[in-house]
Amino acid sequence: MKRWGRAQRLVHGCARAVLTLALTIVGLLLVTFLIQRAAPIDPVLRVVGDHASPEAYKAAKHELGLDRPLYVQFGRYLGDVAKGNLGKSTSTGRAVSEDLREYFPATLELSTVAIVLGVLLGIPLGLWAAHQHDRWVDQLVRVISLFGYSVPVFWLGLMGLLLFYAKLHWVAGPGRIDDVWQYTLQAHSHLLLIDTAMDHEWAAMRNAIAHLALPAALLAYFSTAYIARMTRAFALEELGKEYVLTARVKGANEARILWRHVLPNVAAPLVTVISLSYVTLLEGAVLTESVFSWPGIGLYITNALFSADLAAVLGGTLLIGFCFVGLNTLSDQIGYWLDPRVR
Amino acid sequence: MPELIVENLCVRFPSWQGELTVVNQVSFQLGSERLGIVGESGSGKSMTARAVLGLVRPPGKVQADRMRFDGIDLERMDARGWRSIRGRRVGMIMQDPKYSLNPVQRVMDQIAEIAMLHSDMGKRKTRERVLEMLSEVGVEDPARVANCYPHQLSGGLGQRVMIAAMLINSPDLLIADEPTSALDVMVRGQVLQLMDREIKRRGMGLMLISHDLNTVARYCDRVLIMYQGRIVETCAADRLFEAQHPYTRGLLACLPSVETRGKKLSVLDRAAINAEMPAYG
Repeated sequence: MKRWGRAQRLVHGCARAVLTLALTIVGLLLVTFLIQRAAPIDPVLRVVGDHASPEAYKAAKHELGLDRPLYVQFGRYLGDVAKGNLGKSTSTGRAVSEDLREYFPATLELSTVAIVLGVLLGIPLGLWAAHQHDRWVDQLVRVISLFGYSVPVFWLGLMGLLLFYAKLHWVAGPGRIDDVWQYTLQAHSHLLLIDTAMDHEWAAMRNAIAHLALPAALLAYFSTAYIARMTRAFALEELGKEYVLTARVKGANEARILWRHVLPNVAAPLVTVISLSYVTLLEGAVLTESVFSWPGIGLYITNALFSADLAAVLGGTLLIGFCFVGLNTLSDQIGYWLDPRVR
Repeated sequence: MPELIVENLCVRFPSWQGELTVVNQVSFQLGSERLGIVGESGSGKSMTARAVLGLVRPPGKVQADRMRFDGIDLERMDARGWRSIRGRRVGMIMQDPKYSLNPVQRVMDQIAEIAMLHSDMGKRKTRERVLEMLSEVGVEDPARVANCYPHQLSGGLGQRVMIAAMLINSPDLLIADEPTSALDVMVRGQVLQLMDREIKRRGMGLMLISHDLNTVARYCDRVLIMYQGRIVETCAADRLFEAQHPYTRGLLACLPSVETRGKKLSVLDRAAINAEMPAYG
């Protein structure tokens, strides 16, 4: 009876998550659709040109389906997106979905390396700061976080390039990889670290890492600052609780208290923090990508904006929206799973 | 028998009004007997217990003329030394298992942790020992309870789990800080009797902190009465109701009984007490 109850609850929970997900995505599509219609860019004129006759204009409008009622157009838009058809980019001349498949992995690679570093550094730093409350480590973490808020990312990026690339030659310059490999590498996933590893192109891999190091470190710095600050705040609250006193009475040392008792108790909210931080990175750190000429989604959308390439902008926006919604749902589910009280 | 000797223990906390002395020149000895400490909230009884385990957190300061346990000087103890005493030789049970148990850990892991911290027993043996321990403290279905999270347990069951954890290493002294205040009246007696039985069976010492005079009179041999950080009276538990000190008399007058039925209960008259002992006011 009890087992059945739990299974039922699980199915119920999943069904609700999927329904919420679907509704959010339809809402997102509605917004991008309406932006397309409301934007002061006439898609018909883009096809027929400024000097077309009224008849040609009308024919083109009919052909594009733009003379039908809005809900019909929206239905068609939903169908297109479901098929992976996001329209054609006017600036690159290719299908938007094809562009995204190439640009998005660049952002994905950069963000993933950054978030992994951010988690690996931010959580220990935050726990340590909470433990050393008001002593020097704590102050250091606060200064790091404060610096992270107050210094613009593009300035730090430029300074980084100036120092580590131009002066010290420790890292490679802007771009993802040197031109030598740009056209010879096989693109399997468009994630350079994986592609080079698959083909055993170790020299290319080293080069890709040299290019990745600085922008990834820069983004990792911002997510480390954020994750450390939140971990510190969550852990400080937990350290005042009585189960921590119990652990001390048991004879546990401070490291054990932090990692085995406090961390599992703050894991659920931390997952949310990490996923938010990851989404922020995936949104394409536009400024970082501009500074480092990183061919990611941020750069793609920026370029599309400057050439009024609506399909590309909205396609990119949609992809980011999907990431946001998907990661949020995922982190909620992980949060539930981590906390036995709500499980 | 290992003995706890405390002489002139003081615990101070800095505050914006200058230093606050929450435990003031407290002295007592405790062997394998049952010592009760009674007093109202803020009288320093819990802080005394924490000082004995080295658990007063900074900025609190502990000072004593002498503080020894089984010949070990507790004043000169480093972190490692404290960890070898806590959980191994002295255990402590707190008020509410809802807060004192880790909410995201299973009962099995919480009890096993204290055993593993102090012995090299293998994992399997430890688990067996945990189940044994649970049935010793009167848990009817140890395997099921071991698999539970704290929020799935009742208060009484949670407190049994705490007792099982704290007794698993057979310590010499158990400190129980208001162990039944958060429990239903019905299970209070059961938990106290269980503790009493285990203490006697193991020949351990007990420090029972409570604000309930009846509980202390019943389950202790000797009682310290604390008021504003000081011990104001020490007496044998069976003579508690003949106590002389104005504060103790005041407390006793507040107890409800058959005689006070239908009448208004008296309230502690602090002004009168402080007038009678100007040193404490």
